This record gives sequence, structure tokens and C-alpha cells, in this order.
Amino acid sequence: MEATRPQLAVKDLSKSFGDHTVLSHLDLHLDRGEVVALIGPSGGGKSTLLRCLNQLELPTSGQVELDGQELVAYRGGRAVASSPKALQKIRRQVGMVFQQFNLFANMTAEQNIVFAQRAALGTSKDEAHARARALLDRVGLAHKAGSHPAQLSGGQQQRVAIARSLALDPAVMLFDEPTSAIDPEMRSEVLAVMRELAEGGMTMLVSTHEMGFAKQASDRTVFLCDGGILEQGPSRQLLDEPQHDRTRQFLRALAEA
Amino acid sequence: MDFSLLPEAMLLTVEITLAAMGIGMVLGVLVVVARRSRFRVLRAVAVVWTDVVRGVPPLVWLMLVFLGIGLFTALGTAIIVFGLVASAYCAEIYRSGLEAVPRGQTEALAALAVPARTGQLRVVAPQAAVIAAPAVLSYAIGLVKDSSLASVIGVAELTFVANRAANRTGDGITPFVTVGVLYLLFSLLLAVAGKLGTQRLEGRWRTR
Amino acid sequence: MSTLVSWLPDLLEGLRHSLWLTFVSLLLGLPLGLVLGYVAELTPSRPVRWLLVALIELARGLPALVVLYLVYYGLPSVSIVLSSFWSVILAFTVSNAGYVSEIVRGALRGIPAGQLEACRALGIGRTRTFLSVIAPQALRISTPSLISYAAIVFQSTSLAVAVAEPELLSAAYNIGSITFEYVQVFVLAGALYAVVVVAASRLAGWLSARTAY
Ligand SMILES: Nc1ncnc2c1ncn2[C@@H]1O[C@H](COP(=O)(O)OP(=O)(O)O)[C@@H](O)[C@H]1O
Ligand SMILES: [Mg+2]
Repeated sequence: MEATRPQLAVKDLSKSFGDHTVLSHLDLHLDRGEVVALIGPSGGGKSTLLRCLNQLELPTSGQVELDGQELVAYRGGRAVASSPKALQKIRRQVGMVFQQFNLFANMTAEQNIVFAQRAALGTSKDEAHARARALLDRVGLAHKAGSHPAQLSGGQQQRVAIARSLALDPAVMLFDEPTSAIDPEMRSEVLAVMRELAEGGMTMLVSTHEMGFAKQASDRTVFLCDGGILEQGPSRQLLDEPQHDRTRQFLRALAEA
Repeated sequence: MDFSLLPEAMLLTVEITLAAMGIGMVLGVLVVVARRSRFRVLRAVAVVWTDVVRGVPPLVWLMLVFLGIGLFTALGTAIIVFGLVASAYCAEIYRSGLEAVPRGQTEALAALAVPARTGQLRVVAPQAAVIAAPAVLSYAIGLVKDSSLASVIGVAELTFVANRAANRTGDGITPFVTVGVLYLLFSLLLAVAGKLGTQRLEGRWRTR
Repeated sequence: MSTLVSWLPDLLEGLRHSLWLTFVSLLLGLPLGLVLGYVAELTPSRPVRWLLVALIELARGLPALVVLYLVYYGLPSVSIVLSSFWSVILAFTVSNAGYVSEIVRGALRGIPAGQLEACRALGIGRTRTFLSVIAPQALRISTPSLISYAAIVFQSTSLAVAVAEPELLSAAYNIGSITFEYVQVFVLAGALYAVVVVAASRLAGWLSARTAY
């Protein structure tokens, strides 16, 4: 039983903003340690899907299950914000990395990571610092511990952001176009960190336009379009031999760009 | 004119400005917290407060409090009135500072399970303070000029002393030019000091 | 209550005069400020620009009340005697011109330099460029701040009480000094000021939300 239960399950999830439907009856399962790439045209709802998983957005209907636990509470047919306590619990288990990094500008790289641990987990000062140092070392930025975000390149900021997220020891990591805001020549350093994380057994859902990463580092690729999953499958297979015209068009346009 | 009166008058101008600014900056925090509160009533109170306080000319407040309520000395009235007026303006300045902190950081705070208050206090507020500092500074410089209104209710600050000298001596130019220069000097000093303070506050990090 | 009503005619007369003072000083201050701001921002001559900026800063740096006293008590020493009305107008015009020119300079700076270059490249004359390209955009950008500014001028007409010009605050003060019901009369006068100011600032806020692209 335990082995077959998905780590993260999205069930019949819909999300509208006003009368604009962004996600419609979407189902998606991630097994423990699985790495799933989420691709699709801009405005197709990738960010919205990810944001529904850690409740930066509330879905309109449907459910999200983490390790079998239902995360979305409903009252009178409408999703309602979880209690601060429940929300905290969800967000400690589901880490998120943003397209724009979103490091705290008033703190150094190390302070960013220390602050997150102390504020979210109540970690002791010494422990938080030790862990921050170890994580910065792991993403290759031990020498930048004392730098503020404004002094770091995009690639470096994103690696700090990943380290900051990992500091809470999440069970699942969400990445929302983590390299889109980074100069092309700096992307590989971020992708390398993510690949290593994938190999280390982290469950990951990665919205991305990096087909190289999707092909090599992800187990499965999901093509999201017009509010639903048009097709999905083992990454190599889907990316090399897409079944739908729409997917083919998308991949061709991406390759030409 | 009798220049020996000027130091004391200058001191009063400085006192009104700085004391009112101190009150305004502290009270402004309370007003902006109310303005952003979860509770609708608090928000409404804050909106009405800022509108009413800023909508009525400071001179009307001075006369209302001094002649109407009559509980305070002229100096006390000036400090209280300008302090309350400053609280409304500072609150508005703080509010736009808070709104100027990139939203992404607030989302990161949420995504990292940081309790809302801790995040506001440690991440949003410090950056908002740096963004707001120049506007707070120019408000303070405006307050230097506004403090001259206290002469109307009899506080013996610069404008009052100049006015009395002009009436006594019949020379309507020297006294006002003299205090005009003093106002400019004080403003300049405040601008320079404020600029240094702002840079210090900003330190090594920048929001943009 | 009935006493409050009996004060209203005097207070409204004062309000009318305050609005009139506002109107006249804007009428004079706006064009002066426009010209100052336009020249200060676009003149190719550095000394001229610095002189104007210095004058603008000076006018802005002095308390309006000090400028008013200087005009009212100072000018007679050089044989220029103005009525309290014209003293107020002159003082406000001097103080305002600096503010207005600052707003205008900000608006002019808000127009991308590329548009001026485009006009030059297209062989459009300077006057034509100003009237058809620069002025409409600058006006659009600066209208909300000019409205807020008019509200500030309106508030500052209360300073005229210092030279006994019969505007709203003077009217209230006169009633108060006869009846000693200062609280009531100043609250009433304050409410009249606030209604005008809040309405103007809401209008400015609405306009600036609308003109934002
Ligand atoms: N907060 C919001 N309010 C209204 N519409 C939104 C909001 N967030 C996203 N959308 C809309 O939802 C659609 C999907 O957006 P998004 O999830 O960002 O797509 P993607 O990440 O795939 O580019 C877009 O049409 C976008 O305009
Ligand atoms: Mg997106």
C-alpha cells in the first residue's frame, strides 16, 4: 500500500480567475522521487498549477493530496484558506523556487537561508548557520555567503534560492521556470544543481522551457495546454515523438527560437 | 532688528520641527498598521483619520486646538498639531513604501512558511523604510516651513520674532530676509543630514 | 444648532473668497510656473538653467508666510504698497511658481527623449513639436499633480488670515472672537476646507489611475 501511494496527487483540479478558466479538471500524480517536467505555452497555466499546490492560490474545485493527506479545505463548496498552522505545515513540506528568485534583498545569501529556517522551523542559531553554510557549499556558493542579492548574478541568486528552499527539508520541490530570468550562459550552473537534486531522489515538479533538462533529468514530461494535460509520457519518448500536432508545433517553435 | 532674539527663536523652530516629526514618524506606523489591518473598522478609521487630518489646513488645526480646546501652551499646541498632521502624511508615505517592496518577496515569505508578522517585520518593513526615507525627508523639510504657522498662535519662533521686529522698527525687509536665510539653512542642514542617514540605512543592499 | 446655521452665510462668503484667491493665484502662478519649468528643463544654456533652478528652489524653500509678510510689510519700504488681496496673490504666485515649474519639469522629463529626436528627424519645427507632441503629453502626465497642487493652494489661502484678508479662516476667527464658540466655528470651517480638499484629491487619484497606461 505504502509503496503505491503517490507522493503528490492532483485530483480533478480546476482554477478560474473570475470567468477566465485557467485549469480545468486536471489530474496529475507524482511518485516519490519522481521528477516531472511541466511544459507548455506561456499563459497555459503552469504557474497557476504550481501555485495551487502550495496554496499561493486556492483552487476553484478539486483536491491536492500530499502523501495521502488532503490539503484543500472546502466550506459550502468553496475552497477556503487553511489555518495559518496548516498552511505552514504544507509549505514546509512543499518547497518552491520562483522564476524571479525572490531573495530577500535586505539580507545576505547566508542570512536568507538562516532566516528562513529560524522563522519557519524555529531552528537554533548555530544549527541554522551550519546548515546554511553546508547548503551554500552544495550549490557552489560558499564564497558568496556574505553577498547581498544585488551583488549576485541571476544564476547565483537562483542557486541561493534553491538552497534556501532546501533548508526547510521539503518532501517535494516545485520549480517555476527557474532559468527563464537568467542569462543563457548562466543557466547551466542552476540546471546542474537541479540535476544533482533529482539524482538525489527529490520529488520534483519543474515548469520549464529547457528541453535539454526535461529530456535528460526528468522521468516524465507533461504538456499543459488550454487548461488541461494534452499529453504526457516518459520524457524522451514525449519529446522525441509527440503524439499531438499541438505538442509538435510547440516543440518546433521552441527549437527555432 | 534685535538679532539677540534669533538663537532662541531658531531653537523653537527646530524644536517644533523635530518634535513633530518624531511624533509623526512613530504615530504614522500605528496609522499604517491600522490601514493595512484585517479589520475593516480599523481600516476605515485610518482612512478617515488621514483624510480629515490632511484635508483641514494646519492653521485651522492650530487655532482649533489653541483657541477652541485651550488645554495646551502655544508651543505644545504647535508640536501636537504638527505631530498629528505629520502622522497622517507619514502613514501615506509608509504605505506607498510597503507597496513598493517587490511582491515576489512576500510570496517567497509565504512559500517558505514564514509567519506573516515575522516576514513583514524582518523583510518587508526594512526595505519599505529605505524606499520611504527620501519622501519622509522631504516631508520633514516641508515641516520646517510649516512650523512658521506657529507664529500665528504666538509661539516666539523665527517668523514671530521677525514679524514683531518689523512692526516695531518699521523695517519690513531685514527681519524677514534674515529669518528666510535661517529657514533655508535649516532646510539645507536637514537635507544633508537626512541624505547621510538614508545612505547609512540603505547600507550595501538596494531593492533595485 | 441654529447658531451654527446663522454663521453659515459668513463662512460661505469666506469660502467663496478663499476659492477666488485660489483661482487668481493659480491663474497667475500656473503660466509663470509653466514658462519657468519649460525653460529650466529645455534651455541649452547652463547658466540660465542653474539660475532658474536656484530661483525655483529659493521660492520653494521659503515658508509662504514669510514671503507673504515680506510682500505685505516689506514692499512698502520700497514704496510699493499693495492691498492685502494683491499681497496674498503675489506671495502665493511666487511660492507657487516654483512648485508648478517643478511639476512641469517632472512631466517633461517623463516624455521619452526619443520622441524629440523623432520630431527632429522628421523635420517638424520646434513650435509645432511643442504644441502637438510635448504639451499634450506633459499636460496629461501632470494634470493629477496639478489638481492636488490646487488643493494645497486652496488650503494655504488660510494663511491670508495673517494679513486680515477676509477668507474662510478669517471669517471663522471673527465669529469666534465675538461668540467665543471657537470649537464649533473652527470645526465647521475645517469641515468646509476638508470637503473641498478631499474631493480634489479623490479626483486627482481617479485621474491618475485613469491616465496610467
Ligand atoms: N492572479 C491572476 N488573476 C487573473 N488572471 C491570472 C492570474 N494569474 C494568472 N492569470 C491568468 O492565468 C493564465 C495562466 O497563467 P500562468 O499560470 O501564469 O501561465 P504560465 O505560467 O503557463 O505562463 C493566464 O491567462 C494569466 O493571465
Ligand atoms: Mg509562468
